[in-house]
Amino acid sequence: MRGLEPPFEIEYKGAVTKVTEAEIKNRRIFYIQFQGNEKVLTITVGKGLGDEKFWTSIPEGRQEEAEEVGKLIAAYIRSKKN
Amino acid sequence: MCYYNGQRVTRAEYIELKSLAKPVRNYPFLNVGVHNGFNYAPCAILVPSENNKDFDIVQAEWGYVPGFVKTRAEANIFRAKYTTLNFKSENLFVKEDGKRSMWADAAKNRRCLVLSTGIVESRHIPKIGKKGQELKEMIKYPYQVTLKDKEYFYLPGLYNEWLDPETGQFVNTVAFGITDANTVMSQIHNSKKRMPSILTEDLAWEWLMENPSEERLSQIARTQIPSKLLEFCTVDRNYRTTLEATPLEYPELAAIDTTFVDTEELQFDHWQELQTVKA
Repeated sequence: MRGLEPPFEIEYKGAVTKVTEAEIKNRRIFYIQFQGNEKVLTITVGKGLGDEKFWTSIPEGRQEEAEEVGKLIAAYIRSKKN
Repeated sequence: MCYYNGQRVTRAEYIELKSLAKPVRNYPFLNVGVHNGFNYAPCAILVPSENNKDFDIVQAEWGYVPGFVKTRAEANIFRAKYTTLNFKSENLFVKEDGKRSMWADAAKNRRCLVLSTGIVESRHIPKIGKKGQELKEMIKYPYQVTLKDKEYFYLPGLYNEWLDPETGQFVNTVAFGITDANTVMSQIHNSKKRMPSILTEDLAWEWLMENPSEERLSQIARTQIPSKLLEFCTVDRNYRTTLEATPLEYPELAAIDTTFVDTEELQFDHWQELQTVKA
């Protein structure tokens, strides 16, 4: 399994956003701290019925943000591999 | 059919995702600007993963509780009596009286890294009386101290997995190492002249992932960061309640003397050694 990323930053909606990866109950979660007063978002990768992977917020309710930020995190991690 | 956040998932996946919500709720420790040790609030520590090839970020209560403490009430009494927020790096294995230190077992078997973005320490200045004389009463001026060009840094930690009998859950408790202050820190933390042992990345890795000798661990734990690598500013006294260190100037306060930083010599300046090796 890929090692945990040290804390890193992505640009989301034009602002620098802090991301911290952690492992809880054998699952990788990403803890996202936005600038300003927006509530912290926690996301993980879920598995759909057909085994397709999808980004989801923990707890439920912020799916759109989970998908948007999740894609940026995936791009960041991929870019480090290259 | 189960749905999680609008996505169709199996029942097993649904249960697993749902079960993450509670620990995630208990995971706010990375978002706290200032940790007040005396609240024993959770903070982030790095511990080696089970295969010892990687590490995990987990949460721990700041304030070490040894295994023999039986209840939460006893734990709080113990922490109030002994103040186990820090361990003296000089006493990692052996106390001043030559006896085995209470930290020795953890130093051998339960080392961790405490992740920090900055520390807050108070400078004590005597109040001035009506006749211009110094009084015993002190005015505290809090400073936030950070590292130049580094958002995070590592402190050598010792942790213990303690069973809280009231909840039946294991709780990590942690203390981090302190060492003799450098010249900037001895002006800021002028009541004790001590500072956290801030590790280079190489030393942090060695402390966490390798098996150094007792002598080497003691050396690492005593690491003194040079003054020239620190940044500092005074902050609002409300940091204990707001948990944020908000820069604030105190016009009456004399500046910290930094004229010596380029010639500073420290006994355990492993940062200097690193710079020398790289040069």
